Amino acid sequence: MMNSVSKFLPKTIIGAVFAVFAATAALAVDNGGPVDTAIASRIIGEQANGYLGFVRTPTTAQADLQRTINEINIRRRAVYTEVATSQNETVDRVALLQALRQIQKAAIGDYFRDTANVWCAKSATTRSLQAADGTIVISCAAQ
Amino acid sequence: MRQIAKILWIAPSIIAVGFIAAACTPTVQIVAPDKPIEINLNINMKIEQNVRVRVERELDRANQANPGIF
Repeated sequence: MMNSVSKFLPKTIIGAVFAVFAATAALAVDNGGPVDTAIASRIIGEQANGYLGFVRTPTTAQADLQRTINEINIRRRAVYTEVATSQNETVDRVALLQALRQIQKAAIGDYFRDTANVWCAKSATTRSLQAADGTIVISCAAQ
Repeated sequence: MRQIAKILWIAPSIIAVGFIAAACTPTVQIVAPDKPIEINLNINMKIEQNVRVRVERELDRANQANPGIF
């Protein structure tokens, strides 16, 4: 009896450790599943501050999604901070440039939050560009 | 007389126990850190072309190094 337990236990531990590693690895590359689905469903979207956000206040049923979003945002902030430090820029300005990239590559119909904090669906009249004077324009309103 | 003395002794004891219990109840409650990162756009949004080019170069590298978050 004792022998079978001691034989069984290490395998379980190895299995558990492996499962944790596998879960972490899956998380590290997971932007294909729930996040993309939520973007396509207009539940979340890119914001002009360079982070993902909920279009409407998340429900309790969306707690898992909210955790995932927070995790992504924390990792984004780490990236922005690193780039900002190496380029002698502010984190906010680096984040703004990434926001421009994100919103430019978003699909028509995806929701985004502009620099006036307004949420809207990306369309032919919304703008995400750099103006001639260098100003980054991320706007729901037409010109 | 003895009864009254007993009551006089018990009543403050009960109050004291109440106070101690209240003092032991934790009043600082830790709220789950599920607060999203707040928007801050009170910044200079005019970015010179040369600055944009070198920041974008670093962002390209960072985007490739961090699949799944952009």
